[in-house]
Amino acid sequence: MRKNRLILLILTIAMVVTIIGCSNQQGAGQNSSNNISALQDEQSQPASSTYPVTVTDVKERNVTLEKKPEKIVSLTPSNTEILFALGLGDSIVGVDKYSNYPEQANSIKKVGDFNGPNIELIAELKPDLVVAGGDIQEDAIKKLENLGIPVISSEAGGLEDLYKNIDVLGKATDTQQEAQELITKLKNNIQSIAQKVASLNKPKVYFNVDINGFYTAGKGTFISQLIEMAGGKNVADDVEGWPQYSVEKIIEKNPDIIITTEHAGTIDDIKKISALKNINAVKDGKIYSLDADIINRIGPRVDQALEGMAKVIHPEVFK
Amino acid sequence: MPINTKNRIAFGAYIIILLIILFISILFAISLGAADINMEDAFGILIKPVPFIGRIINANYDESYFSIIWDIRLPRVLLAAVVGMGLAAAGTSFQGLLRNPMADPYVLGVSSGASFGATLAIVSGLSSGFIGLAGSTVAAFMGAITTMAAVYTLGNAGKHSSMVTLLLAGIAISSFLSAIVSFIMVFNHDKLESIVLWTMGSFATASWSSLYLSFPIILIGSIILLTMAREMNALLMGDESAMHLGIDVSRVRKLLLIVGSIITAAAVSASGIIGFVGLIIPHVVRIFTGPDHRRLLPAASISGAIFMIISDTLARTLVAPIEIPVGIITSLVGGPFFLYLLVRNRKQAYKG
Amino acid sequence: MSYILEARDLCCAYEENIIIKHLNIALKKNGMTGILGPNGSGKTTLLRHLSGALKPLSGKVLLDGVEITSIRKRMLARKLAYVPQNNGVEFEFTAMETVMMGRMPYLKRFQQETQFDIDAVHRAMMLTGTWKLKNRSITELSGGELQRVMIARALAQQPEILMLDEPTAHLDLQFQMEILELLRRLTDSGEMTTIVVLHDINLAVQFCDDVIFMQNGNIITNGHPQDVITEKLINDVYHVAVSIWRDENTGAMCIAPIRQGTEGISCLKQIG
Repeated sequence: MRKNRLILLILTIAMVVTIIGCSNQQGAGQNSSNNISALQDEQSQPASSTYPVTVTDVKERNVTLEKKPEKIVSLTPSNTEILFALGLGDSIVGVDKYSNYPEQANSIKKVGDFNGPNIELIAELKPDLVVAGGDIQEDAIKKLENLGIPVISSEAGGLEDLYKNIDVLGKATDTQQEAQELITKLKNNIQSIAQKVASLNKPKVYFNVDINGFYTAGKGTFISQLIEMAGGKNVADDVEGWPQYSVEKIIEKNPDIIITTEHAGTIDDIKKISALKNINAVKDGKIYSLDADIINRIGPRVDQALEGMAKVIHPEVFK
Repeated sequence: MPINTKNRIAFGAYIIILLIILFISILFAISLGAADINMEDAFGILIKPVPFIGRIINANYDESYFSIIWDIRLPRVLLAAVVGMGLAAAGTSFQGLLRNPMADPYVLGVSSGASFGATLAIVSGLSSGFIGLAGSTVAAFMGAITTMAAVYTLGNAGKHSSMVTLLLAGIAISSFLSAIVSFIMVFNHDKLESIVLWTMGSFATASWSSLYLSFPIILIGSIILLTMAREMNALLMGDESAMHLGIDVSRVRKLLLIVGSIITAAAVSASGIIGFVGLIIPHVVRIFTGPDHRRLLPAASISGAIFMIISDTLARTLVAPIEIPVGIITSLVGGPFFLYLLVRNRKQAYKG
Repeated sequence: MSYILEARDLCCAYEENIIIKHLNIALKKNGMTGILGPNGSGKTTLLRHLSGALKPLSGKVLLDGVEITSIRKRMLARKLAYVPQNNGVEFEFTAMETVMMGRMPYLKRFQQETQFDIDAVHRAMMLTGTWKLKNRSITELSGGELQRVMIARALAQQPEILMLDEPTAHLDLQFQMEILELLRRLTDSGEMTTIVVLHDINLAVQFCDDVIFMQNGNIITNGHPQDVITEKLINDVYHVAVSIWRDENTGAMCIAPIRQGTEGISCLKQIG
């Protein structure tokens, strides 16, 4: 009997050691580099990604990719645009319902809408990378990870986040050169536009989010930041977030310019609101409608968003 | 023994006091708001355009402040008053009609019909504008009326044994329409916010045109209800007793149902679904006036108007310039108050 | 002689059941008539049809020779008042407010109550001994008090015909007697025709001028109690053996059920 117990003890110890050893083995695998690309000059150009590669996304999650992704699914329109801008358009096998830019995106298979990615459809495509949005899609992110699919969370609240996301995606997809070029281009364009209007006096701007209740963009929202960068003053900067704003206050502040999007309320509809009829913007006919897809998406077209804003706020500068 | 005249005088005084409070509330509400206008100026702006009396005002007022008082606050306060009055009157009538203290104006499905109509309008783009009468308002009203007709037909209204059937029909159709609205929302995700916002109940977009539909309907409807106060009393005694007192029970029931529903439809299409007013106000007022509808109805109507004015004023000044949906205020006040009523006045409330 | 209330070939149904078949009855003015019979015999149904509350399946009910269903409810309420069996008292009207509702058939829509109405209410409440309760909430009244208030309301209608459905059910003997005494007084003094559904035969016998016995939707017999009530009748209708004591001089009667296997209890002998 003692002999049996001894054998049992040895077996148990052996099992434990094996398990510990195996997990170490996996960890060790991460660190060994297999392929070193000899084509890049490490000093003047961005490095190539060596696989497997681990990136830290904007939500501080560490995501590992075993190899360069060839089948990518994007779950938000802004991410779709970033991926296309990085030249990865042909690798995208699935997008969300609202991804519509560039044109090519329209013919890619749809795997759900902004809030609800369809896990089954995504899994069916056997992607090796999914680029998801933020908190709203957290549930989907967990489910996909459970299926062993790498997911990068890429949602930007502002420019810094955007640049970081582009950088992360560049690293993850071995398109670091394109990523850096994109970031540089955006930074330059934005700076150039901002400089043109920096010293001009700031017209008062009201941004309409929904005329059925005078919803607007308060301080801290990206729209508000765009307005400020474009050389305007957001009249609703005394509130935060996306609240319902008092129409009295709008009248009191008497904005010079009203900006809206087609979906939030057309220019004609705004003209018809009797409450606003005496506001400068309405009297002077300075109501402008901008493309919602451009200004609502924090993606590779932010420079166009800023330019659009600046053109209506300071038309005298942008002939 | 002229007992009745003494009662009559006391009650008359009651009503006059309530009307004075209403008038003061209106004035007060007009002088408050997100914009920085002091009370003196507010009243000055109000009085100036009035012929003759207005001449005493010498100050000149900024055009935007003038607009705020006359184009924003005045119609908004009046709309709140008229909606509050309508909901309270309809709530009182339904509570008597259904002999159910838990009844409110929405119990027969009118509100779901309204939100269904509004949803259709929003989704089909009919209401993307703020036309004289918003597309959503008209659609909501039609939805509400159609629902009323459906519930009425299904519930076989008029016959006394079918009050329960009527309630059940209201619940059934209500649930059905809510489900359809949710269904529509799933397929129109981009309009989701607009639909939810419409439903929530708010006076934030009130203008003079909001009053075109609601004001006459609610006013006339409430007056009609007032003229039927005696019949409502008799109905409370039981259908059989009422009939033997000479009341045409079937006809009176139908009329009360229809008028009450039309008032509710007008209120909901103007301002969304605002809860608790139609439920609480009749109860509170009944404690003071007793169950006689000849007193209860007018007192409840005026009290409903006052309550709504105060709630809406809070909704737009508490965290100005942010607007709180007024339904939140009425629930915050109404909910606990209702619980308090239930616990404290168990004997005085309706039994059963 | 003309009859104030008549039923001719009356057939009544409730949902799908036919309750009354080819019933004929004619009631003269004045006097108190009792409707008796076992449960389910159709007493209440008959009364409700006689009051015009329900429309018959076939046949007609005539009030002063006119079909009752063709009379406008308001006009009818001035001639006929009905006190139902169950009175829902959930709402805190005062006794006086309740009785005042009896004046509704006389008040036009926007008309306030006049002194005349107040007098009628006063009279009705004095007759029923409820004037002292006038400011009390009806939810606080006892069964007997409430019943008398409801009768007062009926009286405030100043009717020619007063109908009551089991006004004495669930009441103490004292209240039972009180109410029947009241009804008797009203009938005698007010030129009123009173029709009461009763379950207690002895009381009916003591107070009613005429009785109608029902069974299975038919009238078995009707007439003066002394004439029509026999041991055989009671046995046929109630399937109970009784012994009946009569005083030939006064006409007083007493009906006592006989317990099976005994000879029964002799009724009270007249004292003196």
